[in-house]
Amino acid sequence: MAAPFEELASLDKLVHEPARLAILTALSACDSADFLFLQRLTGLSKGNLSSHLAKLEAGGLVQVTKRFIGKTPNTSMALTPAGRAAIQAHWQRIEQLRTQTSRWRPEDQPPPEHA
Amino acid sequence: MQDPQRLRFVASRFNHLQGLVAVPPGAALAINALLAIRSPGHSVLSTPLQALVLAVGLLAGLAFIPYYRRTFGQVHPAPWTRTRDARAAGIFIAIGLVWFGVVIGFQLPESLGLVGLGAAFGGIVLANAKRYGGLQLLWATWAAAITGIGLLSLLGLLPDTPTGKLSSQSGLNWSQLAWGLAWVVGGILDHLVLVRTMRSAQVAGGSAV
Repeated sequence: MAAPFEELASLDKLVHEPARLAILTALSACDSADFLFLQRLTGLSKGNLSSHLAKLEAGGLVQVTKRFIGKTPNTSMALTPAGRAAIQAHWQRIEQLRTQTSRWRPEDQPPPEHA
Repeated sequence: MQDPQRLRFVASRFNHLQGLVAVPPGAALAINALLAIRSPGHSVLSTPLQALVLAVGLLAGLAFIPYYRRTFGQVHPAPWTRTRDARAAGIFIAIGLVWFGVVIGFQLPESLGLVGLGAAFGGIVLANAKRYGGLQLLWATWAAAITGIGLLSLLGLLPDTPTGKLSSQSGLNWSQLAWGLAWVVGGILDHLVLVRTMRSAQVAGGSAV
């Protein structure tokens, strides 16, 4: 069995990257949120946030809707069903790894093969 | 990255954490409780001045809604939170009606009614805190104020007020005053939770692409 530390490296990087994880976590707790809210909640600059959202949208995890409220542009984000499933699975995996890590002992690790 | 539980709490309860909306109406309620000392029948809404104070308080509270939208953005809550809130309100109303029926039927002190109501509301607040991963301080302050005033009255510790009663001899409605002050204090506390969560994200600066 791989050590839990090794399994951390196999986590989905699209989800696990800290800024994107914060975005997905926040969106999982609501129906949708606008750009300003996500920017204030994550502390990212406009450019950084836009870039992360583009990656999440390309990965099919987030749906971005642009519209006008009166004359004011408004961009809102919502998780897709795949996004909701992905973030839920991700936190469950993190919890499993946390439990495995607390039980792991160095002697459980198989010795490295010598060349 | 910020604590995920805190992120979820702020995102799911964002509209409820806009506490400054509650401050002007709370101040109006408290002012009206004090004005009731001089009003006919010591009522909290019997004079034009009291009506004006309440109207100004409500309008001033509503004026904070665009402030939050401009400053912190907008969140549409998940349908399950609306369902849960409606269910919690229904449970509280049902408990309240039954409890007041008991208080009136058995002619128990009115302050005991308030203690029971405050305790029931406090229970719902704590259940919500467990579900959403954070305590809504406005609601917690309401519960504490209502329960506290009821207990003080039962113990005969309210000045110029017979034991078990909620209005003083001079006409001050203690429960109204406490509830109004709870709106003010609780509203400010919820606003601070929101601001501090957003501010800590600004300090952390997020991560580069």
